[in-house]
Amino acid sequence: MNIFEVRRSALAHWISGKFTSGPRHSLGRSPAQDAARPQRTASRKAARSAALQMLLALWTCSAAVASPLPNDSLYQLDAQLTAHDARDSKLADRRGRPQLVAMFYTSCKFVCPLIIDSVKGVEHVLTPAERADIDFLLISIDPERDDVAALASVAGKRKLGTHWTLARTEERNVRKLAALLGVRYRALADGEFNHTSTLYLLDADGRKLASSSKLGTVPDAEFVAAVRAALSAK
Amino acid sequence: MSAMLDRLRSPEYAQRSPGIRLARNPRRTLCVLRATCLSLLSCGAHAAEPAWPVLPGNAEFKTVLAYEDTASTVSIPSFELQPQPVTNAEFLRFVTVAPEWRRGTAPTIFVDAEYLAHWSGPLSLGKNAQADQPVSQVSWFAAQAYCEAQGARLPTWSEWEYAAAADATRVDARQDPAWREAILAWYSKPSGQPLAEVGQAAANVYGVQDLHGLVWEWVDDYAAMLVSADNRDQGDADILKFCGAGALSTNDRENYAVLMRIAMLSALEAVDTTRNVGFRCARDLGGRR
Repeated sequence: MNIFEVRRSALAHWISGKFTSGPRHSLGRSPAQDAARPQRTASRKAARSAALQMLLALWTCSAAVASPLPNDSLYQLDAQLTAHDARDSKLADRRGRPQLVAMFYTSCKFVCPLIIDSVKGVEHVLTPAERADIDFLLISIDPERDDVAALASVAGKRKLGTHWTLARTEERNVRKLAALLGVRYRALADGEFNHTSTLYLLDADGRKLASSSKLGTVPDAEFVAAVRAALSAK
Repeated sequence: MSAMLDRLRSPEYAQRSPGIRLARNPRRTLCVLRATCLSLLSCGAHAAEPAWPVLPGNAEFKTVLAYEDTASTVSIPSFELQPQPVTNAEFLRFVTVAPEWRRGTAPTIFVDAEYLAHWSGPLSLGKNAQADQPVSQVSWFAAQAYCEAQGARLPTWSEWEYAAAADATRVDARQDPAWREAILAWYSKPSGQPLAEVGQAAANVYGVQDLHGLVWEWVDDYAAMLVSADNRDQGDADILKFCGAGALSTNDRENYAVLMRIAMLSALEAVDTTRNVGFRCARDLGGRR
């Protein structure tokens, strides 16, 4: 019996028990259920248990969607992201699809454009179908200067597609995110940053699967293989 | 008040508190429990932490870390620093109200397997963790969470180094060979000994204690100190990994004590916990953080 049938019959039982009295055949119930009063009680019981089953089924359903986060998921971090399109979301809202993540900052002249090139490099070797199932997330290490306008400007200039998010988060979460990913960075006196520039692959639950430190438009083959594996595991 | 504290800490009191024998006389036990609760309550009210010393700013603090970009001095705005490292008792209070940071509950992405392993349980200290010992076996994430819950943050390395440069009479005692000797002596002690209680050492000129000689301490930017051309990740060492430049060297090769601390902290990952790493919090003036 699928969940629909359970629900329909439970509803029917409930309605018939509640609003009608005497023999009823119109709702297509079995004659045995319609006979005498004790049996009607039994039928109410059945209805109740069916209703319970239904609730249980619904509950298991939703539980499957909101299963607890794995212990080693980056999404354990309660961080608010503001994207280049000014939309706010929780880091954990990324759950459900693999993510390619890196950290950068918009005023960076040398390596950061290369980070975007590297992510694009991975994007380009994927098939359109594969591309549709992955997101690209770049988080700023310079939230003081990287406001929505700065992020939007880079997103526009670099013609980043709909699967791309350039995001900022609070300073205190920048350090935590960097620590979770393995990014090390230091602000320099002139406003630039020293930082590692690695790409990280997260699975649909936010667990780190692979990383690549190869910069440039030609991606690391091993890393691309890991991306494909993550996509097919979905 | 201090008389009461002394009494609480006295050996007689300690002997009385186990209370198993007292249990034979329920009324008396109740009395003792009530008295203990009351004294704890009043202590709690008073222990509302000593005020955090305010450290004046220093526009040109000479750090031992020399980066190409900083010309060996850093500017440190005035800030407040917790006078002692966070204790087991304080951290217990924190996890009592923050269940997500209890041992066994805290996600493994934030703490390693040894997190608070010396406590007898997620909500009990036990004999290996005295209330007034500095809490250790805490990860950088857990230390951050604790400080945030106090409306504070971890100090930066520069702030810590600046506070720790002082002794009881001077804001910068670092060139004094006797001072260096005294600090280095700590490092030569075997680390298997139980940690001393906080607040045993003399306060420095700012009123801050235990910066040396008790535990290593997490700092907010511990992961950044050795960021240079040093390749920490796996992969090809030749790969261009850094924006800009900024090689690290040291301004003060003689300051082994501080350099050892930097080396030690830099070797840690943010989830790591060890017996000798604790922390204290700091906050900006006039603001919460």
